[in-house]
Amino acid sequence: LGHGSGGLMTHQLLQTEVFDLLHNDWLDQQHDGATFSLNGKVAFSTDSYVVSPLFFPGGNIGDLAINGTVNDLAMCGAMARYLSLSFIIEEGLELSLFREVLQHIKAAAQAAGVAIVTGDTKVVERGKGDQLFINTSGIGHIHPRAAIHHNRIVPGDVVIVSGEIATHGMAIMSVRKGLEFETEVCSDTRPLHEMVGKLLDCFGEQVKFLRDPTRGGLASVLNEMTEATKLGVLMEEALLPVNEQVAAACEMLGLDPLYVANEGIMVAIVSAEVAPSVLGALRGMKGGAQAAIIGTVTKDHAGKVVLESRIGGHRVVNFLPGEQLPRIC
Amino acid sequence: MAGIKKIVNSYHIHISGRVQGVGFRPFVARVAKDLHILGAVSNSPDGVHIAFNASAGEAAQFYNTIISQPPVHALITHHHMRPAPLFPFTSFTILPGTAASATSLLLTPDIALCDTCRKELTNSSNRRYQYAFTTCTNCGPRYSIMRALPYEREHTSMSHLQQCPDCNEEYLNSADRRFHSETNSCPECGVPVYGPSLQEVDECLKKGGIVAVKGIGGYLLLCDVSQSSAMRVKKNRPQKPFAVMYPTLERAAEDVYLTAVESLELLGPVAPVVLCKLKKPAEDLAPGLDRLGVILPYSPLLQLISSRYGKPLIATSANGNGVPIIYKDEDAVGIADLVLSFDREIVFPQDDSVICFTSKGRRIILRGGRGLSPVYLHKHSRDGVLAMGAELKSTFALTGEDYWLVSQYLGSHGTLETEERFEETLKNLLQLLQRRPVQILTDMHPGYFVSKLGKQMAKLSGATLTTIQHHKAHFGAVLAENNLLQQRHPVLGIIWDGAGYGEDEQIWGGEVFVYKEGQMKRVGHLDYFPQLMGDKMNKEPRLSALALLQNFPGRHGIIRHYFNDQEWRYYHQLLEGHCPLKTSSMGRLLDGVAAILGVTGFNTYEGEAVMKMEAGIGDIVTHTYYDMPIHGEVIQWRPLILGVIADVERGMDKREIAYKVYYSLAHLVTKLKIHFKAEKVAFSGGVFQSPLLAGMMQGHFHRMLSPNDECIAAGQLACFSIQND
Ligand SMILES: [Fe+3]
Ligand SMILES: [Mg+2]
Ligand SMILES: [Zn+2]
Ligand SMILES: [Zn+2]
Repeated sequence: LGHGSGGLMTHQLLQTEVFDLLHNDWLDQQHDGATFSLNGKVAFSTDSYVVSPLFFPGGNIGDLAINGTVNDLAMCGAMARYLSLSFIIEEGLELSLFREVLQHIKAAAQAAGVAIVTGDTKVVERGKGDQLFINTSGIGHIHPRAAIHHNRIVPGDVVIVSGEIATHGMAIMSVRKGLEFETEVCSDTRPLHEMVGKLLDCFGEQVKFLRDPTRGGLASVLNEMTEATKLGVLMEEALLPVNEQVAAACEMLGLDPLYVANEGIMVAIVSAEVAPSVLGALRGMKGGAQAAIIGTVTKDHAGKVVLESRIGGHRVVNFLPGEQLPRIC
Repeated sequence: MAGIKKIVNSYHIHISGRVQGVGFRPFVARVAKDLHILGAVSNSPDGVHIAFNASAGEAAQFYNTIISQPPVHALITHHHMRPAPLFPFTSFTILPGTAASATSLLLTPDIALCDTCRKELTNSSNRRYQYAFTTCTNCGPRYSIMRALPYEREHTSMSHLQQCPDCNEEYLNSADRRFHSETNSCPECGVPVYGPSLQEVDECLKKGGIVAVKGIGGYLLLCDVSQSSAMRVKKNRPQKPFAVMYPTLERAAEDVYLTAVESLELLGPVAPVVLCKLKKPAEDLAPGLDRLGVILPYSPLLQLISSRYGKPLIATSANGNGVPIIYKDEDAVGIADLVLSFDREIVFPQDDSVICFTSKGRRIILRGGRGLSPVYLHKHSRDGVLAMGAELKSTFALTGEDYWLVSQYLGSHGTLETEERFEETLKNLLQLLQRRPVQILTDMHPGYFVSKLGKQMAKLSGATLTTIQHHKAHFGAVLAENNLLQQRHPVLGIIWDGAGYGEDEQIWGGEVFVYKEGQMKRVGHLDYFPQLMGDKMNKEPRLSALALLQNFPGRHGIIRHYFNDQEWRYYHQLLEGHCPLKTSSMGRLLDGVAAILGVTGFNTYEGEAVMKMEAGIGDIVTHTYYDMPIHGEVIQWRPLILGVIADVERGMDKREIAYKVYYSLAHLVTKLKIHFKAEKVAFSGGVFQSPLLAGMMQGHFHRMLSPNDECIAAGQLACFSIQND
């Protein structure tokens, strides 16, 4: 990409490629922006995607870019409808690679039922980017029964995760560090809007809080929650769904699965009465087979996330202070 | 004498410091009696007050005797005498204490069972024969049962127990050794016991059971020495050594060599665990080590159990791994086959102190707890400063007008239980001493729990927050303990430990400072090497070895066996890539040497590899060393590592190589002294917990504090006072 041709040429070529592949009524209008009308309460979210390598077991940057924003909206209780899509491309990226990403974007958007209605591409000089960056923004309707806010959480509420933790981060790590597993560890990237939709259909305001624990992992999401609510969380190590290979790899790398990124699971905090039903419902859904109740919200140890270990000790799961700074003397 | 009428005046003496719970008032009353002085003595929140009538000469004599020969456990920080309005005293009396206001009183540590009381236990004609809670003015619990000041029965957790007439008579009799003993009791009016009889305890131990007994600072687990594996399972402690309680010093001497200082320490008022050289290995008690933790029964109850059993017992604090000692009766339910408890609440829980001695008799405090804490340093400084200490081996310290108080060891943070124990102890002690910090000091490490807590407290109370670098705090602590803060001549600080957050955001630990004219400057450090994978490297000496060997690809074979293929490949990749963190840690250097020498690649407890390396040396001595060149600020360790490998390859005895490494460090210190033209040297840091290394050093060392991170809190006060006083 970009070889021997002027930036402008490349740029036009790219625009055409993107338009041709993703075309729909809005894109075909060729406006500076998309116009549409929306009724009722909506959610709006944006995120940028940078990942190296662009392709990894179980997914690629295109999947992340679509699913990520779809999921961010879903965590607000909203079903994504329209997405914007912007690329920042480093000169020299192979065209075939870019086309492949585009194909995945198209497929992911279709799977998530969202329309890409506007977008942009920029090409930057070699060395000024890392192959390809993507930004997506999305807008969607809020589910009529959604009442998701951390201030609705009360002690006794139950913390559920919808699937195994740390798989996405370890999948990336496996390619980056050349780790070999007995069976390949694949990223869990997937859209969660259907799952959220069904939960809200059935349980409505009993679902108090939803988050997708991406960068910083489960630990960061729960710490943000406890910080905001001045409540505590008590988790049980034995209940955490972690793939055995992922756990072993984390141990080897000195990583804690609680801090490793996820792309296709969510944390749901629900009232205790409905927790077993929520768990049952999740387990019956696609991508929810490994869902698990992992802990409860407590009045005790306010502001702290605590993990009860298999042998009974209570470890405080803090925010990670930047790099892996040793504490042990 | 006839005809000469003495001119009698009234005087007032005020004494502050550690003067309560040490038999101070009875002592004053005795001296007064000897000198036929009439007056009164009382405890008050600011110390002991004595009002009396005497001639000028008698008054001076009285004052001098009190100041110069106070009871053994007393610590006078301040005293003065002044004339007072005449009052017609008719006797010398001990008055009850006055209630607390702002206070400058020092708390008294718990004092181990004294010899006189111990003898009474076995004397069948004594009314306290086999009485499990005997105490006197010279022994018994103090700090651990204190609810308020001043030290009076009603301010302790014995306030609900009334003395019987016999005890009361002792209490009022100035000739009795229980005169004004606030913890006085006897079988008639004694502390109620809950649980099994001593007979049942004995039978349980004989059958191999584990018994939990309430001690002074918390519950202890006891079992026969043959039951170590059961205890290891119970405490989830595969390798870490256990302390052993012997019924007598003589019985201990059958298993370990006891030097004079060690014996004195064991029999003294602290009665800590003392790590003594084993006569022959005790693999199940202290796997791979050459020392055994020896402890003598420090409370009458433990003495009775131990004497009856007659044989050594494993004695370990009742708590899980990483969790603080259990001290509440309700938490002790069901923790062992039998639980022996009694109705005297522990207010301030603490662990047993742990001490060892170098071959030259220098004392190294490895853990400061029961009997030692709280530690006071007599300093005039800004009032109301609170130092939060370090994350592991945590303590806190605070200032009064004329003292610094350093708390007991409060565990290593990371578990909810230790964090809560820390907060609770801090809160209780601040309340007991009625302090409100106006200045809070924390370590620079951004991830420490105690630093976050300090920040929170400052935010709530409006106190000012200041951060202090970890190794500067180490240095400050040893300077303060040796009264070197006002020193004019430069002092060299050799601060070697495992890890602390440095001012350059790297992990420090092999540091050299110079303290001159109130300025502390880092003048040297071990050459940096990669700090891999956070705490994982600090738990796995094999990773230190790998990081040290990174630039010597031909020499990796020596540690290959610690890694599987995947780890080997991956860790190398990690080293070849960008390592954002570097360390200058002496602890990691020694870890690496231990791994290279084949001691172990993994620690199951802190310091395991180096402790085992040192234990393996035995009597081997060499006076050869590896050179460690000093280039500017950088101390080169590469020649040492290459030398070690070359010696291994030559087939040199690994014990000799290990000794040579320690000797090289001693040699390095000599060189540093010359290099920096320093006359005085001071040492601190966890690396100096090694009796071998500490024994090779000449210069200033810790006295009442540990060289490990327990001294950080005091050191933070020292650094703050350098900057601000
Ligand atoms: Fe340290
Ligand atoms: Mg996102
Ligand atoms: Zn006594
Ligand atoms: Zn009595």
